[in-house]
Amino acid sequence: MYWLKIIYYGLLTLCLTALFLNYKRVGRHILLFIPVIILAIQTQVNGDILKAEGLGEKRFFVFHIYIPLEYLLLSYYYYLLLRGKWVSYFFILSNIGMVAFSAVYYSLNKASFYHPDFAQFVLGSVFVTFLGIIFFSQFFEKDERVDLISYPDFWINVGNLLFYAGCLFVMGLHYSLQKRNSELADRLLQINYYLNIILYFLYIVAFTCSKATKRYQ
Amino acid sequence: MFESDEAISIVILAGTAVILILAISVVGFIAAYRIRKESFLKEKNVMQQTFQQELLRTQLEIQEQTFKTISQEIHDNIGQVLSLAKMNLATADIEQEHKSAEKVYMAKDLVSKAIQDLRDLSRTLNTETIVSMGLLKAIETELQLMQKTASIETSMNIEGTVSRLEPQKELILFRIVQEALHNVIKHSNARQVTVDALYSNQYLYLKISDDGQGFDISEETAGSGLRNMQSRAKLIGAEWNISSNAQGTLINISIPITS
Repeated sequence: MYWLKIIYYGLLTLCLTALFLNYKRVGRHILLFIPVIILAIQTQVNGDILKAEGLGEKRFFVFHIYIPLEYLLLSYYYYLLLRGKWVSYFFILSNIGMVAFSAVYYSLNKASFYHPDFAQFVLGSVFVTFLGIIFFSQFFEKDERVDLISYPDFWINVGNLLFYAGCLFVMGLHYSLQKRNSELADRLLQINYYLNIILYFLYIVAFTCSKATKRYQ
Repeated sequence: MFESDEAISIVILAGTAVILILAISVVGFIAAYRIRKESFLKEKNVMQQTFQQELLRTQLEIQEQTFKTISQEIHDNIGQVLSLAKMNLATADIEQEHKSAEKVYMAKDLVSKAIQDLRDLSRTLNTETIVSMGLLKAIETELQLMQKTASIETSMNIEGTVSRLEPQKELILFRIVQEALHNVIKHSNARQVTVDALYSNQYLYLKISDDGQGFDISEETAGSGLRNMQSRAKLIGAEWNISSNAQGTLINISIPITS
């Protein structure tokens, strides 16, 4: 797991560097990923510090705070990216839903707040997967000329779709499995790490796109 | 809910695998579709640019030809008529009242003819007039002018329900017909020219036939006149062909009618 974490941190740092170096060439809406990545790094660092301090499994409250914030930023990215009146309603309602669900769920299951119970992550994943699918359907119908290699949104959404859809089962069932067999649960959680590596690798591809979308009539 | 750890593991692994396969398939399909669409749009763009260039070239050619026609018409027709009018006025002797009045009347008639010729010339060359009067009316006017100036019998037959084409196409089609009629005047020694226009549901068929001496097409196809007609027809998506023998020449043009 150690080397996976090193790769994970490395990719996050590379993502941020690529985005800072290329911020003029990617669209302005993609700059939203600067706080997303900074937040991801900070949460991971905080989690690791708390683990080192001996909090062990109880460190997970950091992630439960991070997840709604991450979803807020991601849904705002989709709000800027997608077409349609419904997007603004979806942005508001899904964020209210996310906060309300987190508040109610962790109030009713107080222990879950400090443990790896990722119910809110599953809800966020469903929302992001849905938004990713909408992006691809709108992209499919687009009549403009688009060069895939220089279209950052395409690569971001490939990453989002693979990561958030791929993590649904492993994150959804992790807590149940952990209570019965923590060793097996941790082994299976490696799927999440691998998908994270794919996600950030695709983000790097997106942030290093040489040009913004080419548009022709 | 789950009986064993193994069952949960299987659900997690199988579920994740199925979802990932689905996601990869969707992304792969959309990427392949977009790559194909991109290449199609690129091709379309190149074709549009080529079409615009061809259109511009044709417009320049038509303009060039128009200047040539104006110059020829002024020199061969209007210039001659006005010179004759001037000669009549110059030789009119005021003392011989009867003879000079005759010459003044003749000069007046010649000036009127020159004015009429100028009007006709202006009408046949003005693009806007042709577009506003429509293809058939423009051809009819051209035939009337031809009959008057070149002493060739002309007739026009129209069949089917007349429908207008795009202005740009009508103009180019008219210029093709005009070139064909000018060729009849210049080279055929014909006494009769007929233009037939047949409208079907999807096509307009135009037939220009004369009873002139004809010519050897294989020798003449290299000439720019026939080549121009052919390339202009191609530019507007029309089919153009010509046949000729000792009994006359026949040009067929067919163009799709798009509503």
